[in-house]
Amino acid sequence: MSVEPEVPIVQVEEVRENPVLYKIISSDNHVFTISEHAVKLSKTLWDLITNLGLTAENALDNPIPVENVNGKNMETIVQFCERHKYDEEEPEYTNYIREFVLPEWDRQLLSIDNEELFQLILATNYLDIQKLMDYCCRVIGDMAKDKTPEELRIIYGIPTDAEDDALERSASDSPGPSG
Amino acid sequence: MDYVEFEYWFMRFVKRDFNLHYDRSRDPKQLTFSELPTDMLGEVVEFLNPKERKIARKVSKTLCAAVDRQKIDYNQIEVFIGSAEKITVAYNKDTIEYKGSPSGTIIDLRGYKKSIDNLNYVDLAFNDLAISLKPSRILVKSLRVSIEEKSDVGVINRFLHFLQSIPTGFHVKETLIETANTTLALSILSVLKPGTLETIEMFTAEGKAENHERIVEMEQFKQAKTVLLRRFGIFDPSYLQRFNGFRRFQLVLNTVEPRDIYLLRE
Repeated sequence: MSVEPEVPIVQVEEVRENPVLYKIISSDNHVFTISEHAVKLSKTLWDLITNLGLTAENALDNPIPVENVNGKNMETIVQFCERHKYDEEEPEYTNYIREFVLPEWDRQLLSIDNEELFQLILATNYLDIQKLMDYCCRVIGDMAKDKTPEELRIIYGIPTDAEDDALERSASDSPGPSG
Repeated sequence: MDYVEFEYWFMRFVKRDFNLHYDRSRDPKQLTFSELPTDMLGEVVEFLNPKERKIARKVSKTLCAAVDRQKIDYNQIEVFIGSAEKITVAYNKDTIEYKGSPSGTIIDLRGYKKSIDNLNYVDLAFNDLAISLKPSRILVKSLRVSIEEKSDVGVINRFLHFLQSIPTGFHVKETLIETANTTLALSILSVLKPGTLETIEMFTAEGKAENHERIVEMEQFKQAKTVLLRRFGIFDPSYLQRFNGFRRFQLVLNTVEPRDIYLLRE
């Protein structure tokens, strides 16, 4: 299957060390090129590549459509994977609180509004990229530092339980599609 | 303009997008924090310390449930019940002191003092402890309980009642119980989950024979790997065989017969 890209291919990084490249098409038809080492960070994509039997020879001729992730999120994800493709595997955490230093480059990458961050988390979860998931959750967790419950409600856009109940009630009171 | 709206425009400006006429209604439906799948909320909670988790529980039912579902492994919890209207609880060395005052309670959090009127120091201390131990999958690596000799019996009974009310049992790996009252020490020990509890250390002041009988019958004792009993009294040799399960033990016995040594060797 060959899908014609509607927009120019986004070449994220020239890969000299590893010539195997894959093409990914986002839900809004943006096309991304990603190296083999980088794509391995996504368990979902790597499983897909393995199952499709893509090789160095046919990888670029067979773009992988990812319908659950839009171009904006995919661009961030590809940048992240390319940046971290040679990272060593981190030891499993054993403490009750997770702690690690969030690199400045990643903090900059994730300096986006909450709505975008939540969307990115969903995309990351779908593509199963544990490291990016950890970083996103860490950024959201950091927002809770030294905040009161009321401040957290405002920052995260969480309604109070009373507001939530009222919304639920109005939703259940409103007539359904048939009535 | 609420914070979420403000943040949206702020981030656009940061990215040098100054189009104030942009129509947000064309954007896809906004995703909110509460709409994230529960396991992701759980991952966010993993980055919060105990104090932040307590605050997060108060935000909404969803977040409260996410905090309570989260597995928490405390390295150390220490509870000191003092005789002078004082309870100190330390979570991983983060110490909070609750002191009774004529108007209510004075809380001392690492030197920062706060007075809370009309609330009893015992209620506050045990309520905070209950919240900290609320998650269903909690494991405390080390629990130390120290109760001063002349502490209020009512406070001690409430502490015991609180421990007994933990629905899934109290999962602790190592414990040090320091109290003059051996019966009380054993009551505290009895609420700790047998099997999880590997090390028992007790520092008591009396060694009644009835307590010897009681401890060797307890599952916590039978399943522990290490037991250290200080000032627990002199054991009768008939209990000697109960210690066979341990790789090493040291006991003070009132008498010892060659038969006991023989049985032990066997």
